[in-house]
Amino acid sequence: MAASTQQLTADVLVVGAGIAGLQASLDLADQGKSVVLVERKPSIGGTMINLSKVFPTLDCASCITTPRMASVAHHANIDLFTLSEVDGIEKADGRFRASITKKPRFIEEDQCIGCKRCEEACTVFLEDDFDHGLGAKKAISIPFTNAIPQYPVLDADNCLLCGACAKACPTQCINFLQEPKKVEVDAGAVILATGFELTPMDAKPQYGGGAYPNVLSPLQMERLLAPHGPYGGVMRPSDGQTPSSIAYVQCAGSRDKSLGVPYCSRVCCMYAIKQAMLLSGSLPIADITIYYMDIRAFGKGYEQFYQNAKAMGVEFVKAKVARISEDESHNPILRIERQEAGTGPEEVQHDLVVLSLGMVPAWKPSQGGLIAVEADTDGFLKSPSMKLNPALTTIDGVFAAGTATGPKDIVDAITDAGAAAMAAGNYLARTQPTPAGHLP
Amino acid sequence: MSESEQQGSERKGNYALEQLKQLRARRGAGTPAQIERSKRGKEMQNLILKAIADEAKTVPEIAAETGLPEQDVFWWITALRKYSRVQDEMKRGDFVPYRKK
Repeated sequence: MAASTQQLTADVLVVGAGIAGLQASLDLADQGKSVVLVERKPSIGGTMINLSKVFPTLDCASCITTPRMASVAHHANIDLFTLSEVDGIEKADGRFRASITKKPRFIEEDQCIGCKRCEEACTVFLEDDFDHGLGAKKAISIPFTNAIPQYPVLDADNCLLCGACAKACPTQCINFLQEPKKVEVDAGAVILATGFELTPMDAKPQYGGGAYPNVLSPLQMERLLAPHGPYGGVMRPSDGQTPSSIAYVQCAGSRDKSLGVPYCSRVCCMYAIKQAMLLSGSLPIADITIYYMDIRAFGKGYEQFYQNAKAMGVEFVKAKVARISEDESHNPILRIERQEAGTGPEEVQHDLVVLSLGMVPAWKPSQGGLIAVEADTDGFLKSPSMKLNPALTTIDGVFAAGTATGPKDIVDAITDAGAAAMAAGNYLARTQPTPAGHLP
Repeated sequence: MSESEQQGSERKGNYALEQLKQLRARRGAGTPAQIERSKRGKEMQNLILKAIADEAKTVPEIAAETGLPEQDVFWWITALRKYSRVQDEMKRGDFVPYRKK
């Protein structure tokens, strides 16, 4: 089926609809700039919509993110493309031409009413990526409760073609033969808000991540702590038991040259402390231990947050974890060495362990594709003026927001996004012709 | 829904079923591994639902009764709970008992 290419012109193309991409798009759109926002996942919201609460205020993450998601989706100056990949961006004559592929959801969006009857009827259960494998979804499903847009996506690779979804759909909007669509965007400036990923769970095989059921990633723990998490509470994936002893292993993916991540990821200490405090609230009799090298609590209110955690009974042990094994009941056993004189290696058993994984770029310029900006030595985008104008990249007119340039917490990512929006606005005022009758 | 809307809807429904026929002819209804996984999943769901049909049970109790691994039982309980086939009961010690809805 041949599909015609949609052509769009915009002031700014924003790549990535996590919290930084959302904020940059809103700031520009509120200034009257037209924005095309492209997100590769089926919903906007990025990693932040996956979190339970934020540090150090313990505000609900969803309550901060969802209004921004809704504003973006309904803003007259923003064209939103989800489940879409930017194949490439080229600069010519001072403008940027981007080629985008909108992948098929296998439903007709203009007819879908988001009733979820297709999801209820589907008989194929799969691991839910929103819950990081802890929960289940169907082969056709709306990505999560407050996803925007509220359309389901059919996983064509796992669909068994039973037709139950098509029979259940009241508007008959399922289209099993839907093809990808091409979109071309002509933009005056580009903001890259490509975000981050966590280091892989199995990057350090000696920690058993991905192999032992009760060794979790921090995002899995976020889902367990979330009000609508997969289990309805904090439980062990191996058997549904409420844990009475939980450990955090700090620097499990950062500050390690052997992983190619020699830098500090800046957020791991604080998210571990935040989760420890939330666990203390939801499991008051549980022992929570954080094994750390240094605690880096550098932001406003962070040191007080750390002291509050200690006062709440969270135990901080300055020790290096050498390896993790498990017993026959899937209890993780940590071999540790305390950094105190006169102590030797010892083994400590816990019910559940969280590996404080580090941050790596979700898109590396070295992967190619997207646009030919330069990478820094850490793999994140290089800013030629990190201290004076961190939104700049090595291409004039291309700006970076959020964790695209390096690990950041949410506060810094949002501030950074505002700076990128301002820089893009200034660039447009300097380079793009002003419509007749308008003052520059 | 008016009669003409109903007819339009039925036409579109038939269109989707036609598409399915084409796809089944082109690639079959899933790989043998997918079909086997789906069959095994249905068997596990049935065993679990049967075990908790009359009485709420914890994951270790269901695993002991059905012979399924505890981890698999818990994953299926989570799946069935999400789609309202199973409900939680009052916590018993460190475990939540589950009952078929």
